Amino acid sequence: MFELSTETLWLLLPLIPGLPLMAAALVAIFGHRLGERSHLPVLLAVAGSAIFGFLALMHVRGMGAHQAPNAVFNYANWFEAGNLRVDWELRLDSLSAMMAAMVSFISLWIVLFSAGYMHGDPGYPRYFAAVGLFVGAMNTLVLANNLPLLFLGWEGVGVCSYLLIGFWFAKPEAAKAARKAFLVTRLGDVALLAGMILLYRAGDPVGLSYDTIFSHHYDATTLYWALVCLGIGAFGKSAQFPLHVWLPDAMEGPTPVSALIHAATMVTAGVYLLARMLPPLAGHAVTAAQLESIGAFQDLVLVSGGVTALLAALIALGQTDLKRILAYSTLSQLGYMFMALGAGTTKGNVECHSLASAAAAAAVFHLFTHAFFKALLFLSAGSVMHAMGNVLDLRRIGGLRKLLPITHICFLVGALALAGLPPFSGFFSKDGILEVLEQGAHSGGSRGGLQHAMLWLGLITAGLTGLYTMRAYLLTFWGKERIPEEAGHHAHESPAVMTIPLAVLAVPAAFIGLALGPTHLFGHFIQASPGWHAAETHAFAWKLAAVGLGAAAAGIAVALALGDRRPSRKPNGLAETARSGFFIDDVYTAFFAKPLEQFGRLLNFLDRELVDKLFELFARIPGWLGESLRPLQNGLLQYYALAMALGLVVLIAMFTLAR
Amino acid sequence: MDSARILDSCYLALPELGMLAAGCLFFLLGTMIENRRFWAVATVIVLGLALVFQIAEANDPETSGNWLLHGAATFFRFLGPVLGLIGTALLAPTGSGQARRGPEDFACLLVACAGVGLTGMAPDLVVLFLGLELVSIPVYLLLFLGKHDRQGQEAAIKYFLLSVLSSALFLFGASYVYGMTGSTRLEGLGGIHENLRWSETAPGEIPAARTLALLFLLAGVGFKITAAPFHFYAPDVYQGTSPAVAGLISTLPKAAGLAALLRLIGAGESALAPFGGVEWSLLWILAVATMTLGNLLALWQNNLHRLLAYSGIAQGGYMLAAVSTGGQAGIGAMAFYLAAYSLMTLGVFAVLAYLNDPDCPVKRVDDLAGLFRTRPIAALCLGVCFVGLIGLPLTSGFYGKLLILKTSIASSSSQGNSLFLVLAFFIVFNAAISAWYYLGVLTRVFLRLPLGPQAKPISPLPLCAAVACSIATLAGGIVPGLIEPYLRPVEKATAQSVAVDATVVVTANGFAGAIEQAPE
Repeated sequence: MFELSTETLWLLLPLIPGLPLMAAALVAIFGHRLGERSHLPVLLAVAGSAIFGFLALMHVRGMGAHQAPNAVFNYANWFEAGNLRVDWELRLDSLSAMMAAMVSFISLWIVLFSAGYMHGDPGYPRYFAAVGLFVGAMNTLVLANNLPLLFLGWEGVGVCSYLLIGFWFAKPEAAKAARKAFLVTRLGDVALLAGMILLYRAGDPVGLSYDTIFSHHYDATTLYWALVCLGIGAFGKSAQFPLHVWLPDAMEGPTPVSALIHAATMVTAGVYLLARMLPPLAGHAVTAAQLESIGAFQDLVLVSGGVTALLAALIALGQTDLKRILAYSTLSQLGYMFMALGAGTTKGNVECHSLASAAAAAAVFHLFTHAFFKALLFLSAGSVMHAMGNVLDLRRIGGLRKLLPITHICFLVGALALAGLPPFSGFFSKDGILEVLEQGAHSGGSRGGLQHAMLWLGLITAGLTGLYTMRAYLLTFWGKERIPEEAGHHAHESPAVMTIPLAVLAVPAAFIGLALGPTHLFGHFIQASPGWHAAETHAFAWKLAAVGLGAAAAGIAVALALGDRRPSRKPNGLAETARSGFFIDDVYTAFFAKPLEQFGRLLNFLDRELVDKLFELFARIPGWLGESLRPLQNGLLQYYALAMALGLVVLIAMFTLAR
Repeated sequence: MDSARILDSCYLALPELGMLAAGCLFFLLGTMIENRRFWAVATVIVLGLALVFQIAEANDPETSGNWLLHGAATFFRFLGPVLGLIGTALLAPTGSGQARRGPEDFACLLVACAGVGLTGMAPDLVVLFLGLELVSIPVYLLLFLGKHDRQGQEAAIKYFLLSVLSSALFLFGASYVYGMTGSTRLEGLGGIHENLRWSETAPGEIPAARTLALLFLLAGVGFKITAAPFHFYAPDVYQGTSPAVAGLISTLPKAAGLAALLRLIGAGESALAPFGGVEWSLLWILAVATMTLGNLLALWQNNLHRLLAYSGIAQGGYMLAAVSTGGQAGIGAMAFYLAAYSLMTLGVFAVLAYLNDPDCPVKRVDDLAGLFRTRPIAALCLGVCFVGLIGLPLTSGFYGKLLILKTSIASSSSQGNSLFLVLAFFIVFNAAISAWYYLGVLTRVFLRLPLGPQAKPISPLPLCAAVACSIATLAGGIVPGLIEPYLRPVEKATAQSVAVDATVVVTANGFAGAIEQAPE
């Protein structure tokens, strides 16, 4: 079996986030000299991260499924405040190793693709510096062994998303989208911070390392509220209802950035956080009240995930822009992952732990496969965009399968995986989620009904997914060839630097689900993480899989039946509602943004007209006083002598006569 | 007056007497040797010897038991020569508006430095007066010799007449003390406090004559400290003279005045002082009036010398505030602040002396515009010193103000007197006001473009002094821990001497470098 010495791991682990960070610093400093070669350091660094991540993954794998492979590497003290001590410590277990390897691997191909896609952009070095920082921050996040260090990566990811979504900051929509993404996710970040504070206050011995958190018995109320706070943080980062509004706008950045955000680095953070926290906490919950706390929180996750999944699928139906469809599909798929995380039972300790572990494993498995096929889809869309002169409006493009043969095949693989057709990877991971929901529904306890409802909701969404995915595919690549005038006369397949990453990503997008899902390799590996309940092998649920496949197939059939009928340009009530995202943005604008803006205007007015004026008045007083005293200093010697004498007389009067 | 005691004092005051003797020698030999550089070097040697002697004496266990050499006295005896060394660098350049040949300048400087030390260690009202006059008289000369234009003469005559008036007031107060106690000895006055004519009134009641005596004495001392209402001369005098002389006037007499004040109201040995521990309310009023008036009037100044004069008045107010808190900590804070203020102010005047070019005078604040672009080192020194005068962190000015605020707040809680809290408020309020005009200078120096032709410095010596002052200012702010513990127990003479050692080392190093680089 493959095994690395502790010293090697000690050296290798910090390099996984470290290499991209160093490359980012290098490009940021010397970018103006590197110019169009700026991608090289980042490419090499991310490749190094991917290799090291893979080595770490093999190491954890080599340690065996039932041996707790938790290695914590403490490098130095970060800060100490009062009795809180936070160290630079990294954690190597199944979950972190898998995440680090996956993030670095996918980022590697996205970086390579970007080298072609961003060719000729004046901000070339800036782009790659930010991407390097992005990957480094994400790797920090997944490898951290305590919440503050995770938070550092979390915020780093947020900053990078801001930089990259607003990459073309001269475009007002891009600047606006970047601001929106930053503000909405910040809202979640504040909650995450609050959750950390709650855990810190309740914890004893004090510490925010995972192991101290998992080994502490929090009282039920603290546990619930801490989880809710962490959950809101996860909702914000992973764009779950009601904090989902930033993700569709985030496609204002360069398309590879969308791939990066949607697949590898950003939105997965929330799923990762909950997958990291929930199984060990469930395993450590003893009292019924603690189980109820976890169950109540899981209900919240379940509802948020379910609503997001269905809502986003409906909105995706109404979209006419290929990238927007993909963006909403990400929302919908993330909704699936959260639904999985919400699966569980309150019936007993062991059942709760076992089901929560299986549920988290299912969520992470979908995250894993989704990362491949969504990266593939976005990069394919980028390739289309590259050829079509930045037009992705399905009313204006079409029939591109001859023009872009490689992109066509790759997109088809991604689309089938997303739609959930076997043997493509999405089928198996989605099936795993439906399976844990069914287990939750049948496991008894008070939470069964909701999970049953969510199972149906998941099936409906599966059908809708098949519909909008196939429709987007058909409208883009089939039918009459339509090429917008922006593409010019030289519309052509993308260069090799862009098609190679597509081809490379297409392979796992197609088969990794089949390889790891039915064989239980993934589940067993992930559930060997310390604090998780070991996976139980059970028969493949044919019935549920058949129903899920039926739903997806029905959606695809409807799409095929619709054929080349393009969305009309005439507004029609229902479609318009879906296209606008059920007016959720408008609701936010009307109820939050506008009132806050008015409030801000009021404060601004008060500050300028009242507070400033008042303080200006105060500030003038010394000047006036000084001005009025100036005649004292008239330059006449005899007057000075007189003033001295008079001053003395006044003092004498004060101190002798007054007594 | 017993002559044996005076002879004793003569032995103990050897460094001061040495400086005095050297000054006299300078006056005599000045007619023979005209080389200004020679006299500058000689001054440095004399001051250096005096300092070495001070250090030896402060560390000598035999003399350390003598109260004359205690605490505050040692501090002032060190401060005088240190300021003298920097002053020499300011005075040394020739042809900068001063007289062509000038051993007299250096002789005056030596005498004034001796005066500061003597005031600090005066055992007797007569010696105290002598010390104060030894500071005043050289300043008349410096003012008179410095500039022969109309403004210069006006400044000299104003200073002379008003200073004589203040000396008369001081002597009048001293005569009251003698008349009521039959003694002029400061050390004895406290001891016989209870049973002499001094306190013929009921126990606990302060006789009016005593207050009257103190007020007259304070009028004399207050003139030196530029305390309101005895400050009127300062702006006119500073304006009328060269930067070098203005720098000396803003520091040496102020140090002498504060030394005399401590002698009168008790410099760490309040039981021995005639006015020990009672007159805080008088000092409180003087402090608040001085700092507020100085800052308010400084707001409207365009002339750099006038601005610095008002700044000096206001800064004197802070030091009075420190003394008024009445404790040992207050005196320690005052000592720290005085040293910090002296170095910062001398640093500013050193830059002005450096830029002092008759063809292109730097008089108004606007004349400094764009200095950072033309002379970055000078501008940075100016920046450090002004930042220190504002009292921003990382400078000794900040730490000094912090000490003063700490003592006033501590006094308000230990004495249960909320007026000290009001005092702290006044200090903060005044520091805020002062930031306005100090920053006004700095914005011109760093953010504006040069307005006209720039001055051509004659000698780098003043710049070296300015650099030394800036380094000392930063050192006092960054590592005050080196100095501060020694200031807290002011009554411990040896500790005190180490405190001053640090200052001496910093300035002396800067000065040695300066001498080496001097052209000519």
